[in-house]
Amino acid sequence: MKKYVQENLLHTMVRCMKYSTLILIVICSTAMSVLALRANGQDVLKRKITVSFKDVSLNKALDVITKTSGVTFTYNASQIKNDLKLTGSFKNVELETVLNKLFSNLPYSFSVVADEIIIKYDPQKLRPDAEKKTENQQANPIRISGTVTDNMHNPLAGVTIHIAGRRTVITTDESGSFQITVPDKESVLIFSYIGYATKEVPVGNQLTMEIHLMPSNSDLDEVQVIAYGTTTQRLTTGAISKVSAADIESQPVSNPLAALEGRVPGLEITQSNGVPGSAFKVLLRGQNALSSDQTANSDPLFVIDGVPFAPNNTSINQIYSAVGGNGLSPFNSINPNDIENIEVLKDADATAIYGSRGAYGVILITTKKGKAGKTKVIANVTTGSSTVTRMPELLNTQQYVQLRKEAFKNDGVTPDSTNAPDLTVFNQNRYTNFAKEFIGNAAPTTDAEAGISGGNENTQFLINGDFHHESTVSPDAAGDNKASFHVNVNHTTPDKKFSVSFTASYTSDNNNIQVQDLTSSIFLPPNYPALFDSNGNPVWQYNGVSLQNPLSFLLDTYTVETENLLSNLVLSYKILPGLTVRTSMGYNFIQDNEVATFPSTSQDPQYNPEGYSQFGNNMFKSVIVEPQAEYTTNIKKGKLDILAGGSWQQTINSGSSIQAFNYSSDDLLKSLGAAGTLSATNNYDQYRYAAVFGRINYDWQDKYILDLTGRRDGSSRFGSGKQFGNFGAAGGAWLFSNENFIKNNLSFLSYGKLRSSYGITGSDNIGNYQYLDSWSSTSYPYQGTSGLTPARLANPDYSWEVNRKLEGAVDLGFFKDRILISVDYYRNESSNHLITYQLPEQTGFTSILENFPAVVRNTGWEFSLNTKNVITKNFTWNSSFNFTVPENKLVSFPGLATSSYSGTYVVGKSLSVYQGLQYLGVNPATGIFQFKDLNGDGTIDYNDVKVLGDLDPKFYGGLQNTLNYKNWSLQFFFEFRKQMGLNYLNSIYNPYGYIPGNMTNEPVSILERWQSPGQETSIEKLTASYGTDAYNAASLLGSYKNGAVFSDASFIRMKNLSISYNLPDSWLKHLHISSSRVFLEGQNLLTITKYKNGDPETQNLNELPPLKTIVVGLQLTL
Amino acid sequence: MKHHKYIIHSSRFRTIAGFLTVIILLLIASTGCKKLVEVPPPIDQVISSEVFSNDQTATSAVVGLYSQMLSQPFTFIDGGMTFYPGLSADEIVNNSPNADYDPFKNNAIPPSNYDIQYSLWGDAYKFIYQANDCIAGLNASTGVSAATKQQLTGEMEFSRALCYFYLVNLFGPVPLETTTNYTVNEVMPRTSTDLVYKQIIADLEDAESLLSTSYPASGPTRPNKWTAEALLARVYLYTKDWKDAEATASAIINSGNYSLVKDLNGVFLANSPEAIWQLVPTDPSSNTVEGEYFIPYDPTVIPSFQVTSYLLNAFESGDNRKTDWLASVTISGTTYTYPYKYKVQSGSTKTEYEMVFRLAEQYLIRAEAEAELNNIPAAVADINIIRERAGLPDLPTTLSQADCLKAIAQENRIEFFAEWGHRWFDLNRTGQADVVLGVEKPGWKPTDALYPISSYEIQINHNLTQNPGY
Repeated sequence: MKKYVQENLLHTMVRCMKYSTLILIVICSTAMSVLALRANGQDVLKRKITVSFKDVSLNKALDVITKTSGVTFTYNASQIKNDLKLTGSFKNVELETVLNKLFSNLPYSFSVVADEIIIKYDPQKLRPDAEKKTENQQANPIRISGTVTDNMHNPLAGVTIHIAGRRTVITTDESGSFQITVPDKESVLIFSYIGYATKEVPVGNQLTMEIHLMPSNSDLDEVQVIAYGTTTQRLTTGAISKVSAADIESQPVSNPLAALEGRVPGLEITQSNGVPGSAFKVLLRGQNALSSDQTANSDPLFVIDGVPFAPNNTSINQIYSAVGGNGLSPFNSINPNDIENIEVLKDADATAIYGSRGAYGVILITTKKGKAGKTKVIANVTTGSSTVTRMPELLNTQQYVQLRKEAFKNDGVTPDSTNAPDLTVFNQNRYTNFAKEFIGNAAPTTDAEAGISGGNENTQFLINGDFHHESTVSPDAAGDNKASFHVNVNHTTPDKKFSVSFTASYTSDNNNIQVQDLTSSIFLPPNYPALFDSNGNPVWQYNGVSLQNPLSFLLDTYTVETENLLSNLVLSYKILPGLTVRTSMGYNFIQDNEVATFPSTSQDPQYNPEGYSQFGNNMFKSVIVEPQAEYTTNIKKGKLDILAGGSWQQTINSGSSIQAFNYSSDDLLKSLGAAGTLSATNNYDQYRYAAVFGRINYDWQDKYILDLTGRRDGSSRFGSGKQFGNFGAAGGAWLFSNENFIKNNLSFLSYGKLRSSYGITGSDNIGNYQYLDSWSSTSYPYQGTSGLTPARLANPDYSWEVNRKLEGAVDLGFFKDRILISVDYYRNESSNHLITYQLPEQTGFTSILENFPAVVRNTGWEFSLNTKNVITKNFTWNSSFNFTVPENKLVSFPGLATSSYSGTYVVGKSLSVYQGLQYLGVNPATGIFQFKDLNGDGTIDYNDVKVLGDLDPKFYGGLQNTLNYKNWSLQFFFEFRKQMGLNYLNSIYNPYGYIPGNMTNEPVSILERWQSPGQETSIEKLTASYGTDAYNAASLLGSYKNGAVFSDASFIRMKNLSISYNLPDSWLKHLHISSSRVFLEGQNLLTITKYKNGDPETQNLNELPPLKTIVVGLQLTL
Repeated sequence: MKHHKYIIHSSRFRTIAGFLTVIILLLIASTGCKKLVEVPPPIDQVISSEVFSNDQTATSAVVGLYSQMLSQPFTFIDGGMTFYPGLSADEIVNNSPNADYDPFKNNAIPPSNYDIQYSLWGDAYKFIYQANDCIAGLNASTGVSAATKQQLTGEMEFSRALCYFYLVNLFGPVPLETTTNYTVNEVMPRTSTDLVYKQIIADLEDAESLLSTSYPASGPTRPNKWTAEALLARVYLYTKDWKDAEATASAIINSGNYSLVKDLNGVFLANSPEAIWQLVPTDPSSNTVEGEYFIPYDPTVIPSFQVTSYLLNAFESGDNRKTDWLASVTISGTTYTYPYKYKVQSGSTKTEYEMVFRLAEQYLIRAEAEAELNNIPAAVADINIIRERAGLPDLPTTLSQADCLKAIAQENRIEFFAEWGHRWFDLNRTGQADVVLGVEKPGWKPTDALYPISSYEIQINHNLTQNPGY
């Protein structure tokens, strides 16, 4: 096996080289064609001129040339030295020769654009001359010393300094000091540092220098967090997108994942429903995992301050509640306001260092850190409310009764008290708007936050506390209360050799959500009898008819308390100049305690009068230790950075679930001791993970950057002999805008980069112990003897899922980076899939976990555009737009036709392929839904299905606009998605529940139903009885996927709106407030869609749609 | 100058080289650090190799199957045989429209039906897997004592036979799996009814020889020799092996271990003297599934199920079973009569167990075998034993063979109504389904006698074929 792995690696490296060669060829040919284009305008230089001048300045000389030849020059006057005395005389000489002579000893170069000659200051041009000078003339080396500080006068260590046109490169030491010897007065020093604008300083007569670097104004130079380090967008070789605090804070959401929706190209986030705490589906660059359950196994790896988040994106609850089947999101216990930024790592270059866990991408969350400066106190209070975004409009009693009667008439059946109590027993005039009653409330939300931060050069701190309350739109909802505390302390010794950084956040969340989402109950007949009697007790029957009573759920309680502690300690020591050793240690503890009580009064007395309770507990505990060493040096003209490290992680998940029965009183339901009978299960999972990793980054003058990463790691999720694997990637970038021929010729292009990467990552994103052939205990003992039952079909031989990622991208900046464009193409191919291979029930199980040689390919284009549309003193307007066109394709699947996946997947189509019956509409003659009998066998069944499309978005993205006018600021963000989805008919034609015409209310769209022969409509005639033609057709609609329930679910959503006003300083001075801001923020304010009845994102009428939230707030800074 | 440069470079390279050494060392270390990624087994699981290493865990593996059998109401063993075939025959109907019950009641089961796939077919094969796993594990075990091994193997062979017996009667030919090898089982086609019965008989004969006459735990809650014989007698009857049916039923009756309970209200109590095998309900809050779902909690609510008028009219007057085993409520002038063999609707104190085999059946098996062998007086004597308990007068020994068989069918219908699908299986095996249900059930088709094979299962295992009529 080891040999196989090595061969595999070799094979990959060869492939890798092939790809890089290919990319190089593409890059070179592009560059050459650009040059060729330039050459066309060279005629002007061939023009012969006669000119003479004596002891004149350069611009004077150029003037003379213009006068005599008609050629115009363009140059930056400030760069042209006027203290030169130039002399020359030419007779009928080519302009080119004249200029060459003129500039031969000057630091200028020239180029031709159209008929203009552009003159650029080019200190590097003199390099050969300068060297000649040292040989031929007397050299005047000058020794210069100095310090580099930032705008706050804090020393900057590690600033790169090089002499223009020379190979010498040095860096500043811990105190920001440097010493350098330059050849002469004419030398120019270039200072560059991550996150700061590069500064060029001519030496002149200076012997000491005080250099202040200003933070870069360009977005390209903002610090970007990557795996085990930082870089900038300018210099990165990987595909990384960033969402920063400004974009997160302006959204009134309680889950950080909600704040990411639509903001990152390639990242598709979908909310399960609008209940507080519910889960989010996260897909980065498409679905890779083959699985019977489309939502499983494709979550990216989440790392918070260097610590993998213990539960990742899996649900943490044990007990079913209103949050629904996708469970409780662990991210609900993270305060979005504590987040400084979120980086989304997408390609192999960025993710391969996470080895076996990076296959589906990595999302790095960095929390806020203390900053040096005056001590600042910030307080922030918001309050507002939430309502349902899109409420389905349902029939009123009159319409309902009419439709029910029509259904019986269609069937030729007489309604009686058994089949139609709603028509014969219930009051025909009673009307309750159950939608309004069950989910129509306004849910208040409040957030209060206070923090203090500050520090000096050596020590910085930040302390922040936050309280958040939000309720839901159902009656009697106590809601979700969350308190969080965040602290960060950094210290560096005065000699800058040793530093320590500690960060901790603690969140305690108490979520009182209901046991059931009442949304599924809004379809009760509108004339349903009162659900509570005058004493407040639930009513279970009405004149002998037993009733469903969804409001009885309000008597049940469900509380989940979640505690989340995230902490991280980084110790760093600089042993030698350039060599730093570092150890990062992290601990994450997240635990939930759940109690659900079901008093006897909340249950239908017909079945079980006993009160009972459920207790759940789930704990994740993760420890990680990562020793690292980093060495930075300069080799030739480049900067080399080597990182090596190890990682060891252990995650423990343990939980228990207890059912308690036989209480003497409903009042004791929260007590375990009072239960007469208990039945309990518990689980304990351990996951261990060990790795060594390395990265070599070589940056040649910020022009050519090569990045190699590798990792060997092992995971306990695999059986003996399969635990270890090797992963790696190579990435490269060419900043062509730093080439002279671009600088000189395309001055409008302020930034240009081509980058590419290829590599292999893996996935161990499966449960623990799956390889183990074991028996688990049964839920209940048998007659006092504990029982065992086979846990699974075991397969000890499975191994890593492998994901090969290829990326090519071009990043461009125009007009001093006022316009930034980035276009990425990616191709991820996953193979050796770890799948739960579906088995027929006759094997005793429904699936087995195994590696499967299918190939899934995700390709896509990601486009992002950031513009600074207007920058004036009083008004600025920035826009940011992202757009993704993904494509998902099952490339191969050996033996698909005979496998259990034959009905699920189709080779050549997306994994979300939607196969179903071809819908022919409602037959105008009979009023029945019609489907095509594709195989012509006379029956409509699964043999008649065909590919109807897929559920992937065709494209998606977002548009953000930020406008600032004086003290006003306006921000709005639109998310858009073009997709097909399941429409409301899928919710109302339920194979196991009711169909329209039965005793259930319907959206008003049902009024379009077929009524008389010849009528063209989209909804078939109503039926109330089993076995009618209409019933059978309706059950086809419900039992098989089909074209009738599959329609456009595209939408444009105004995801976020924020308006704020900074109170004028003059008002605040007397109050000793340094700044104050009032604001209004809204989330999900507007949805533009053709999707009928319900929300196009959640696509389910039985679950609470996402909520619309509006809050107002006040922020004070003291 | 050049020399100096070289020195600078060499020291730099030395550092780099040192660095690479560290990386390589770490790499080497990691391959040796397998321990870093080794984890102990989970606490709630036992490694397969340990399960059959001693008597205690091996016994847990076997009783785990009984716990599984009663883990989910309305599934295969947990009420599945009483409710679904009861609805399909002419015994019970649900009172309000219900998507789960209607297809069975109307004999119009779509092949995509959930209960067909999971509750009946899926559960049966889950249990068969566990039985197969236990049989193989016990066979290979060295740590389990000989006596325990014999007992447990017998129990699992019996359990496997029980599952196949119901599968073959519900679906006809079914895949016959006797190992846990999923690569073989996932593509296994349906095996003929004859071969399935052959395996059932082989299993039961082996079980009968392995099991002792006493029960391994308190009460008739785990199978003993007579339990295996009770199913064997029924299988002989179903396969028309009259002689063996007669002999096997006789052996049980003559064993003296069991007696009919005089008071009809006591037949279904826990540890009933009539019980050859009872399963102990596991759910802490309830007794039997029949009690929970037949009996309405409150006399003012309509019960979920009621017995059909056909069944109600089939009782002879004076039959105590009509008064003791049925109960009714009247709501809005309508009377709903429901099965009342089990008296406990719910409650955590378990006074009633799920009766799987009871002595009364053996009398009627023997009677039918004797009647088929044309030994009418013996047959009538057995029928009369059952009738006497019900407070009915004896039948004369002068009955014709046909009348005698008719009387046995009638007695089966009344004695075993709403109990493990006896009526449905009897109608089918005696060819009476079309005659009886063809009249009583609108839309009845002869092919409705067998349930459909789940369309999802056929989709996954292309070697499966659908039953005619679906």
